[in-house]
Amino acid sequence: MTWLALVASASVVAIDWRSLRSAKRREIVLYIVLICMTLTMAVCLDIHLFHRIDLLSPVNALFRPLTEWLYRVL
Amino acid sequence: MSKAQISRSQFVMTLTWSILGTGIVSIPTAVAQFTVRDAWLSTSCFLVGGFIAVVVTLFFIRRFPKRTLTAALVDTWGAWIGRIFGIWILLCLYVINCTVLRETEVFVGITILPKTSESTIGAAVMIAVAYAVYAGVEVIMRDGEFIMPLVMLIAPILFFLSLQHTDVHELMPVLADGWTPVLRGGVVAALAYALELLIGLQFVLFLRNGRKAAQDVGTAAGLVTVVLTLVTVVTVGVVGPSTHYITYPVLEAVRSIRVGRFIERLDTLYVIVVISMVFIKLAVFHYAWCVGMKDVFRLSSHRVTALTGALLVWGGGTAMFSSSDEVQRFVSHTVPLYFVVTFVGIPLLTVAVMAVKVGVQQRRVASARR
Repeated sequence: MTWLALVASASVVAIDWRSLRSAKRREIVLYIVLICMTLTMAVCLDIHLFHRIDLLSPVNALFRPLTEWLYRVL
Repeated sequence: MSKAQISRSQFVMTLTWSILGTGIVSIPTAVAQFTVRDAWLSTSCFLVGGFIAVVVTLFFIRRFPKRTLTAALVDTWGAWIGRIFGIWILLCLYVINCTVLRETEVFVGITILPKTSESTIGAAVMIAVAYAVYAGVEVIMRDGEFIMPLVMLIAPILFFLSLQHTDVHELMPVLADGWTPVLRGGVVAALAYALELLIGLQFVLFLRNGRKAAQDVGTAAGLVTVVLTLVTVVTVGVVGPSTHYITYPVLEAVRSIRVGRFIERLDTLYVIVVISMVFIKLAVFHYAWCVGMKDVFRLSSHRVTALTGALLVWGGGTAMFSSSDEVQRFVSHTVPLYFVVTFVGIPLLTVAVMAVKVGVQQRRVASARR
């Protein structure tokens, strides 16, 4: 997955190269952040880190008890 | 900002396909965890969620006739608090897209490409979605129109051929276990899937006739309710109590179709329809996310994040959910209240705050004149 993510990221940068040259600094920073996040995710997936980390745990912690309470009420 | 104009029929069609894309695959399974015989009643609860979506759209359109939801948040709450709310909405849209992509990867992997890795399937899907989103909202809407004849041709054929194996007794006796399992099953349909119709708020700006957006959301909700109820009736009628244990009961119902001795395996047609609709759904939600990013981070175009965002969804789908069971558990046990807060609570609160702000401003102007 990491190799696929690297190839995909390079392709995306190549496609967007012309527009990136005239982009604002804020846009370039956001662009780099999104690509870095993708690469990090791909690496973490390859080293099986997400078996131990649940990315949705904050959302689950907030809304799962409320939803289950709704089921109990019904 | 793009001057793209979306017609009412395009808007209704796209909303309908967006909900049916995953709804037709997942709702019968989710509802069957609570009730099988009365699953069609639970599916009908979609209309309740549709009604909530219509009311929220109505209030939003009256207060913000030419704004997207994320732009309205920044306008109402100011740059900082508005951005925090905006990022909350963007995270929700991202989670939805990851959920849909993960469901699609598993569905395609099980049904037609069992030897292809799920990450490759996800990459192939997201390349098409990124291209459509990059091309703009009109392309997505025209895609919605384009699959209309395909769906209108295949869906009725599969529906009527499935009827020959339907046993109405599988649906009897009605309400034998009371209303509790029906209402519990209805929570997923009404609060998880129907509230997805509120994605329309991100497209208000592009509508040719934005004033009638609530009517269009209502039409889409009605259409989806009818289709989902019919599909559930036929599925339970064909598959029976096994619906509770099967991951894709509708697929099993379609697989049962045999005409004569030589026409069978029509499930391929069903998979084609589902993938076409899922493509529209992913494109709609990804476009809404890109427009939201543009509003919240003041970007020059939605294209800045169209390709990199698609990459992020591709990575996030597998990172968030290791299996389809996790997706199902998340949709049934977290998403209903998550969507109520995100798509009902935040827009209504924003409308109320804007109304108060406008009222205070009018009073100040009136007292200054005196």
